[in-house]
Amino acid sequence: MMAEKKITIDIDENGEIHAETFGMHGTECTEQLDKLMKDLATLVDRKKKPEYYKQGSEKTSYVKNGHD
Amino acid sequence: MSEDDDYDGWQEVEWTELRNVELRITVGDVTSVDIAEVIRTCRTALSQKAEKLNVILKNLNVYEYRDAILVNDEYGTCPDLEEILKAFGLRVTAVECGLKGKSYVVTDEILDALRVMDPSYRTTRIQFEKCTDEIAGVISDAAKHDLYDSETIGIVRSFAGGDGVTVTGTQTVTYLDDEPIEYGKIESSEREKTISLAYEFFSGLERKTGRINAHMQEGTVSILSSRARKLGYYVQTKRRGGKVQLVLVRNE
Repeated sequence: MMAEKKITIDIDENGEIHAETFGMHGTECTEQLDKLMKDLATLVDRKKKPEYYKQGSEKTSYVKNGHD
Repeated sequence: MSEDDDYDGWQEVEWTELRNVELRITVGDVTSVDIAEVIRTCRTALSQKAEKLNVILKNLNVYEYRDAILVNDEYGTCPDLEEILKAFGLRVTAVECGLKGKSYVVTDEILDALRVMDPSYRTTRIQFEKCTDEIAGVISDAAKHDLYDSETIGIVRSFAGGDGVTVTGTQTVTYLDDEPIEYGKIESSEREKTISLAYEFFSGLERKTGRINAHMQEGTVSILSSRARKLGYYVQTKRRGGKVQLVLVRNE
């Protein structure tokens, strides 16, 4: 059965970016987010969700190199 | 005849004169915009845009000529290049210029407006290739700029430099004997034209600067979407108010 990997990314008007991953294991979530955000955003906060330790899901918040 | 009417042979004479007057117009007569602040906003916006675009442009060949750039994707590394550039609010024209891969000539409305107020701006965030005469010709032919006439440029630059603009007008002055007793309204078509040109520029500039954040947001969304597709994700874009949400899904 195919596993679904999902990432949601919210980009607000002030340049803040919040990202959350679902269905990823181990370091996969951080690797995927780093590939997406490279040079585009500065990481200011990273929170591991409870399921991270079971399934490797991670909630990550990025703040973009601000435009305001 | 009374003594008052004909005193010592003199009679009071009322006469009018149409005289030329100089008028000083200040930026406050035209707009409430703080020009120094707007210039800072434009410079910051251009720097941020260049920084974001550099994420893409650093892997491409970029040539600059007279406030326009030619972006050449020699190896096809950025299939969404045109879409990304447009998302940042840039004017993009696809061109054939003899270079391998896709090429686009790109201009920016904010840069065009900033040039009018502050000709000294130059970005240092993008690394440019040496521009040949041939490429300069291609850029020159395809670049779409907001064009401002020399009169508007002169007026705006005076305001931006902190000076006012002096224009001429006419005014009727009524004298009784040699003493002015009444000043008419100053008429100056030059004043009206100057204010109209300046107003048009600054109101247009307000509209352009008002779009900066939206362009930065859309540009970022576009780069993220492009990267996600390259990583094999299906990308769905949801918009709610001023917020954009990307939902990336991949099945393995």
